[in-house]
Amino acid sequence: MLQRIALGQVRFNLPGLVADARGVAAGRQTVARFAAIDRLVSFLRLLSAEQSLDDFQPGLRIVYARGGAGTREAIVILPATSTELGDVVAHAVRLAGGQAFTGAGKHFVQFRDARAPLGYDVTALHEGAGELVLYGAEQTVSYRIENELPLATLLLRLSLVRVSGQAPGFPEGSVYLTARRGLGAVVAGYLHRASARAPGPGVSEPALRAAAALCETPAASAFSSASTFWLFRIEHPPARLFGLLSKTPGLDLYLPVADNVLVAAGYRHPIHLETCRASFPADRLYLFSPGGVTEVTSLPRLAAIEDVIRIRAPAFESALRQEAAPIARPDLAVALRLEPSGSAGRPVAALVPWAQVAWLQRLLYALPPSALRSYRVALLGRGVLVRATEALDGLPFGALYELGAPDVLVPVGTRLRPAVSPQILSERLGATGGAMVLFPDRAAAPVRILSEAVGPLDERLLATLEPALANMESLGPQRRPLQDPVEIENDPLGPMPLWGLARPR
Amino acid sequence: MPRSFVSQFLLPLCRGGALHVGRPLGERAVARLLALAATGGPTDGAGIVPDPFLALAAARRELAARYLPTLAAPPLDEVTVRLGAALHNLLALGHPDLAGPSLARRQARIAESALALAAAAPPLSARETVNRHSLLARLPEIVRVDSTVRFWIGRQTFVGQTPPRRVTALPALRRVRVDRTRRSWLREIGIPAVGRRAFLALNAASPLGEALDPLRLDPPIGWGRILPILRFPGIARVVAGGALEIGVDPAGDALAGALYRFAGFHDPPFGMPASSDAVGFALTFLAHLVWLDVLFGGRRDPARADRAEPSVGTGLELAVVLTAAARTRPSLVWPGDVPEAGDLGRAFRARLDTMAARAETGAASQLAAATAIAEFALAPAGRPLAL
Repeated sequence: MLQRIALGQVRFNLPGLVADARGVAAGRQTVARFAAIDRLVSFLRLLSAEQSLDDFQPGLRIVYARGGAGTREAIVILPATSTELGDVVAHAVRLAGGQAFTGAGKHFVQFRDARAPLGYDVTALHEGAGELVLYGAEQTVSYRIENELPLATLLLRLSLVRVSGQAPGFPEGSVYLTARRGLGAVVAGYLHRASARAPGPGVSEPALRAAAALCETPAASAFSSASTFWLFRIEHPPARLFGLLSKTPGLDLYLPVADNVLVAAGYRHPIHLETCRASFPADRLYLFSPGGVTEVTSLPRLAAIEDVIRIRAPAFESALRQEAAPIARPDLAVALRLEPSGSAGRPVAALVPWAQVAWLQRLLYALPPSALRSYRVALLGRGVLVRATEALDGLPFGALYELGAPDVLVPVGTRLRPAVSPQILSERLGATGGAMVLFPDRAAAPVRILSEAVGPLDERLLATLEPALANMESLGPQRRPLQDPVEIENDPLGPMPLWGLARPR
Repeated sequence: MPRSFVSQFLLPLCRGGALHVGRPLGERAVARLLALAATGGPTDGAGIVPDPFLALAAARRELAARYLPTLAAPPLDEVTVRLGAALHNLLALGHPDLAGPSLARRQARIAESALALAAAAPPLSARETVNRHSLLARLPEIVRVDSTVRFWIGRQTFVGQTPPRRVTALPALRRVRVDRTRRSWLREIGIPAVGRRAFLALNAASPLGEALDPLRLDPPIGWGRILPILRFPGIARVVAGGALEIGVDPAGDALAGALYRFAGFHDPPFGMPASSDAVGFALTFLAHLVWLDVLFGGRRDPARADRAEPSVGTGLELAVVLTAAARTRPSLVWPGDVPEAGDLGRAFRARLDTMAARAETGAASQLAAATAIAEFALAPAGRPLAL
């Protein structure tokens, strides 16, 4: 029994029903009920024309449920983020000949209509068994869910519809072409010649470009081999090719509706596939044709058509006659050099050789907290590099370095020549994004230290500390974080499942 | 049976893993397990307690330490065993092997046994509260994986069962495809209607889980079940902290909505009945949440920054209830030792004014009902309230 919701009413008997700012009561989910699968398909087509089905993911479920009277019906459960979205869904449901409900969990009440603009509530909850209870104006039906049909599966099962009254010709943008394996080389050569052909005088249409890949579909069974075909992507195809590409046996023309979804030219899918991108994994390619769906398990890597066509080797004589005369232009670039500068700058880093690391370890106990916090270290093959933010103090050993450019360390008393801009120097050496470049000495090549290798000194200097837990010995040695999910595993109940239970009073 | 019940049900319930649901447990099986637990657990020949009992104690202690860090390992006492068995029977209500023409009768019998097992008085101390909750703390995390195996000549569905290897054998030859659906037992599958009373009794016996999940839809939170544990200060702080984590407005809305049902005697007959003291305590607890939000709510947790902002109507129920309480008797929402002239008092006053403005504009018609609740809280004899 339903009751109409009054304006300002905020308490409802149906769990999960809440009123929005307009006073319209709705739940977190919308349920659409259809008596037949064709109405369900009509609903999805109508809905996808107005609203992207991806907006309902995750959460969109299509289930077959059996009602109390034994009828088997198709039920769509959609998340409802707002009542406006619910209105769009309800409109599409009514157009398709179904019924819309709102609620959450297992209880759903009829969606608002002209008789109850603020929605419906129930007078009492249904006490019977069932995984889904739909409270309608005429009757309340509880459903037992029998199976679930994923949206992606439904999309792959539907047959294409022929488009009538469409003018022949290519749409704007790219088209795709499949060719049987034996035709691949011929088609590639043809497309290459077509792309190389210069447009006529006064023609300003963009040039044809093509790319190709060899695709393989998984074997249908263990006794059959996998089928292989060529896939061509043709950009800006001229209209003169349409008849050839669409009518030649062995060639099938496809139009893209999404990045990885293609539909045969002259046909359309019953549902607007461009709104269902989430149902098609991005690493697969789907080709919808009247004969079924071809699923390419890994996204093909298309190669330029110039690289695919067969190359004929030049004749031996002509190759001999060619003279190899490499002509190189003089390069202006010069090598970067370290030169004595005559004056010592302020040291900002020190490289402590591994032989002196024991000294450094002893010194760490004496360094003040500010130094420990501000110094950063990197462990290199030559030793430990200690880098200060401004000035390095308190390290009486190791090789000292100053800044030759931002984040470019050079030995104290040297400079980099030629004297290019420090910013350009840092950029060319790769001393950006937290990385540093170290010139160990005048003879050694510079090394680049990535930002991941540099860490605060106070974090690096402590060994791993794992204090023992107190008073836990009695609980045994095995301790595992409580991260595993708790999953129901129904064991067989045997022939007498209620053995040992008391008889009902 | 007792040992496998501990290792295959109680232990995974706390530590995670496969939660084996088998034949429903009756009083006799529970008595055997109780006898075993009373001796401190079974021992082998050398007098050493075997692994599952120790592991269960360790896992429960780890769960309990989230609420009372100094708590010792909870004992496997009678109430704990009975609550575990009751939950097992509730889970068994959805067992696929029960299907058949007498399904309803079988479910009724199992639900009745679960109700008898779950019938226990509310906990009498904070320690007992956490001890019981340590067994059921991960109840919202229980999931059921339903598998549908499709092959060349048909399909088979396995509800909460791993498909046997013979069904999935020769996958390429038989074109085997397995679709798995993972659903939360509490939130998505839901408690069957026949087991609803037993589940409420389970919550009345161990109310901390319900108190920490105020946004639960079905069955909704009930003050009658959670009030007995809110009188323990440590537990009340834990619950208030949980509500702050969720957000004072959504959690307060759920608790305020539950207060209408509680004060109107519309709650199911589990837990304590409504009285003026109880309703007054509930109102002060709601005000306490707002005080905490005024004190600490300004700092937004960066870990929660990516969550969606609450909708416009969130917090209206709480605003209505607290506005009515403040107008009826300020002491219901205002502690006596906090002066209104201080910074804190002025901040709370500003919050109350904002809530009052919202209540006036958004739900003026409910203010009368909320005022009746506040008057009921002040009534000396706790006369029944007609809502």
